This record gives sequence, C-alpha cells and structure tokens, in this order.
Amino acid sequence: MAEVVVIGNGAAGLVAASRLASRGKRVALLGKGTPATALSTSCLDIGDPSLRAFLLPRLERQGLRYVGDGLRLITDIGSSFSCLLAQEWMARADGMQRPEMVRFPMLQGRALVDRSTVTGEVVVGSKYFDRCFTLSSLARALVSEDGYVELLHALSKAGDEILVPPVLGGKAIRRLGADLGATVAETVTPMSAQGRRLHAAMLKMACAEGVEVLDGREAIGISMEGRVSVRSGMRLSGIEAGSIIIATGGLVTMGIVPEGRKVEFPLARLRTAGGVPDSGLLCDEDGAVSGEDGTLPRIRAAGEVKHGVWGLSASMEDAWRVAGRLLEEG
Amino acid sequence: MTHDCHRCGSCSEVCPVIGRSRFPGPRAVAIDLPRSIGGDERMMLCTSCGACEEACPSGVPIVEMVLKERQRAFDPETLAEGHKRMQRNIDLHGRTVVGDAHRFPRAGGRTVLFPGCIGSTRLHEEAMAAFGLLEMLGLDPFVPELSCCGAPLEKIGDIGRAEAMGRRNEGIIGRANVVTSCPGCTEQLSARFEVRHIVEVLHDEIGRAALRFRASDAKVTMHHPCHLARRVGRHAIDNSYDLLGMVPGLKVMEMDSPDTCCGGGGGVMSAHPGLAGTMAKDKLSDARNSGADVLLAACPFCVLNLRKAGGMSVQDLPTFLYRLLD
Repeated sequence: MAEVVVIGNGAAGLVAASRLASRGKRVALLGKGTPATALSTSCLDIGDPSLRAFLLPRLERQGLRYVGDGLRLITDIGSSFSCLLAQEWMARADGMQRPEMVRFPMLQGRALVDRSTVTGEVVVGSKYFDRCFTLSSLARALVSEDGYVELLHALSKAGDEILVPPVLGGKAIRRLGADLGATVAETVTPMSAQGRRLHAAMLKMACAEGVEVLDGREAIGISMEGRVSVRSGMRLSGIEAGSIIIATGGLVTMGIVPEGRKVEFPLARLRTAGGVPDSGLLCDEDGAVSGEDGTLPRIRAAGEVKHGVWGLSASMEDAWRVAGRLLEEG
Repeated sequence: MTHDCHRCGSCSEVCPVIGRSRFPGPRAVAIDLPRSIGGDERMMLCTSCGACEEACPSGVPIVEMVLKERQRAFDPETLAEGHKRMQRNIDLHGRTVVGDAHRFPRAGGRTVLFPGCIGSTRLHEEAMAAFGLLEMLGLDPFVPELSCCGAPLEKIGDIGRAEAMGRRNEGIIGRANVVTSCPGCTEQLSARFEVRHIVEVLHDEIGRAALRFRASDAKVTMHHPCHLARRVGRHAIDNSYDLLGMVPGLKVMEMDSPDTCCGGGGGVMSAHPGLAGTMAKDKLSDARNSGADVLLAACPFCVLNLRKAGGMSVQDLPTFLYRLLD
C-alpha cells in the first residue's frame, strides 16, 4: 500500500515522486528498465520556476554540476555530431523564444565521448529541417493525420538520411522512411555518460526524499480502483495505491481496467507510437483522466496523455504539475 | 523483434563479455549475425546474463534471440569440448556434471527440492542446507530422482536434449510445488512447474515459521546472480537484502557493480573457462575492495565459478543464512 504509486523511472516520474515525497507522502516508484533520461544528453527544459527551484539544488546535492543560466544553454561539448545538432537548435531556439534550458555537463577531466540524444522537450533540429520538432511534437505529428502531412512536407527536402529525435517510434518511423523514400533513423544512442549521471542523480534525489524506488519492476496494468499489477521477473503481484501517476514513456501493456470485471478491451491500452495511439480517454490540464465509464479519480497522467496520445514521452514539467495538483487536493 | 532495434548500441555498452573476448556483442549476434556471419562460434561467448536486455530501451529480447541463433546453428560435431562433455554426462547420468550424487534423507514429502546438477553432485553441503531450510520452514521437502532442468542444454542450442530432460522431470514431479536453489533452474522449470527460488521462499515464510538468526560479526557483500536478478526478478535481490538485514550484527557492504555477471553462465564456464575465470577474478576484486570478508551469491553456479578464482571466501547465500538459524 502506498499513498501514491508513480509509474515510470525517468525524469518525469522521478520529479513527480520526489515532489510528493518531499511533502511527506508515501510514494512507491516503478521502473522496468532503462529510461530515455539515461540515454539523453542530459539537457533539461526547465521553464517552470518552481520546478527549477526544487530540482537544481537537489541535483547539486547529489554531486551533479550543471551550466546554464536559464536563458542560454552553455555546453562544453563542441566536437560531436549530436552536439552540433543541439547547437544548431540553440541558434533556432533563440529565434523561437524558447531558450529555457539547462545542461548538465560531464565531469571535468574525463575524455569526452559524446554519443548523446536529447530528452524531454528539447528540440533537435538539423539544417535539413524546415522547422524544428520537439520530441513531443514529432511524436504527435507521427500519429495525427494533419501533423503527419506537415511532417512529410517539412522533411521533403531533407535528403536521403534523416536523423530525428528519439521517439522510439518503431513502425511509425519506418513508415515515415518509406513515405519519404529516405532512411530515417532516431538519434537513439548508447546510454551516454551525461545521461546516466543525470539519471543516477535524479534517482538518488528521489531516494533521499524517501521515495521507495522499485527498479526492475514493470507495471503491467492499472485498475480503476487503484491497484497496480506489477511484474518482477517471474513474479506477479499488486500494489494498492491511493493515487497513481502514469509517467511512462513506454507502455502499460494491460492498460486500465475496472477491477474484477472481465473486459475484452481495457479502457486504455497504452502503446508507443507504433501501436495504438488513441487512448479513448480524456485528460484535463491537471492530468485528471476520464474514460467511457466516467472519471478515474485515482489516476493521473503526466505528459503526452493530455494531448490524446498515450505513452510517447512523459514530460517532466507535466509530471511536476500533476504532483502539485495532488498535493493541493491533499 | 529485429525491427524494434534502434541500433543505439546500449546493449554492447553494458555487455560484460564484449571487451574481454572476441565476442562481437549482443547486437551483432542477435540482430546482425544471422545475416552476415552465420553460425559463428564466437556467439558461444555470451554468458546470457541479460544486462543487454535490461539496458535496451526498446525491450528487444536479446538473450532469447542469441539462444535461438545458437539453436539454429546447433551442430553436435563442432561443439566445444566442454559442451560435448556436458552432453555425454547428460546421456549417461541425466546431469551436466558427474560426481557422487548426494543422498537426501527422505523419500516422500510435500515440496520438491530441485538441487540442480551442481547441487546434486558438487555442492552437497549447500544442497543439504537448502533441504534443512525447507524443513525448518515446515515445508516437508523431498528430493526425487531428478534430471537436469535443461537450462545448460538450451544455452548451447541443444533443444532436443533440453526438451527430453524437461519431460522426464515432468513425469517425476507431476503437479508438486518446486523450490530450487539455482536461479537458472528456477527460470527453466517455470515453464512446466509452480516454482520458487529458495531466497523467495525463505523471505516469504520466515515470519510464519517464527525463525530467528543468531548474531554474526561477519562482513559480507553480495553478488547479484544474473538469473536471480533479471529472470526470477528484482524482488529476489530485495528479499536477499531483507534476509541479511535480519541477522543481528551482520555488516553488509555494497560492492561495485554487484549486478555484473560472474562469467559462469550461458555455457561459458564449460567451454571457455579462461573467460569465466577472468570475469570471476574481477568480481572478487570488486568484492574485496568493498571491505567485506565473505562474498555471498544465491546461485550454486556463480558460487562454483567464483570459488575457482580464489582469494576470498565465497558462500552460497541460503547456506550462509541456514548456518545462522537458531
């Protein structure tokens, strides 16, 4: 039994869990494997001042150094390809009035092998892009008809090889490649040193706040009544939760189901971009979720769900807000 | 499954074998090898530890694919000498290793203890400790005449013998509950039986059985066996720490990379003892650096491999706990 169960061990889940735990909530956090945060360049978009005030000192306490004054990204990484992409974005971001970004650089004195990708709301553009797509907007474009047409248009002059942000899109990315007659690859790279450091620091932060971190544990289903079905290797079990925050970038395979009732289709089957994007759920600004059977008071969604797309990427700022809303409600 | 791979290389990044041998890496074997190299013997260097799967952001079942590839390329003629020996032992004795089979006290009972090939023939004391634990927990254990669980055979691609062993055990065990002390067996047997690892059983039942540990001033550290942590499940590692926490006075040190493979699995110990040995040596050096005097592992296979490296006391975790029971 936990007051809140957070599903997802990436930046979003860890921030939500830490916020709740720092205010005395009993929080358990489930994470099945390697989150995108650990694959990232550790660029974080922190526009929300309250999140910034919460997060940065805590990460520093865990030994993480960062540069960035909140207005401009400062990076010590200049040589690598992916960084060139990031720098190019910076130039664009200035023009786009969205420069709030902080970067956590690697330790000094260590040979720099930057095989980075980006996470959260960071934009990766290339000089071939007519416009910039964020991780989220790319993900949305891939699964909506109008967005897809726009995406095809934007990429029509992009050449034979196109790198896009890592939406882990599988089929959708292959379809895009086929439609463009080009090779489209996601800039997913091995766990970068920076990404791992960022993720490790966020994990430590969550533990320091008292979050019970259950790693290697996969949430496979959620009941409307507040029970999370958990798989740990060969064992299935359940956690009773007062509230559940879904902060996954991936999927909750069994979706949300009413307890004790056999349903052919769950209310929401959460899939990545290649699967079933439409959750059939409505979601308000605070992440409150309602389905065909009415509202699901115990379940909150952070990130893409409120745009009608489940499970593409969980936004840290969304998760922060959702956690704040839960606190307000007591 | 191949399509889910994003070519990110996270799997190769965490692979414990790739830098120490001619192993071309998880992705090369699981995703690329089928198209390029074919049944290359280098794929036998994988210890099936599963670190690659854990690191994969797309959930590609890499180990399963490597094993499928071994199965596809299986050729009894070209097997490594160690693997041929394993097959001979299976054909003659129904076990992967030869040795005096341990005699257990009782013929019948309620819970089947599956001691595994290593427990049956090499680690008698550890197998008896597992038996003793189940007795103290009131689970009425017995050990029928069992064969290999089939896991080592599946690891070398010999699916025919693995199936035969599985069927033979099915005939003996029937519908009884099974407890194993080897997490490799736990995983393999789960396809046919209701099975738990002894660490899970001890953790779940110790309260009900009202058992207590005597105090100990030992300094221990724990290796997380691959098949326990990544197959049986991460909860089994939490269970292990919980159990150690119940021993008054015991100092539990945290070693570097407790999750990293000891090098014993996947048929590597029998076919490539050199590789298994260097990996075990590194493991022991990490364990010593933690300041501990005893390295614990809840897997007979790991214990066997780690003991070969020497230089530190290596003990089976359930056995260590059994000796501390009042």
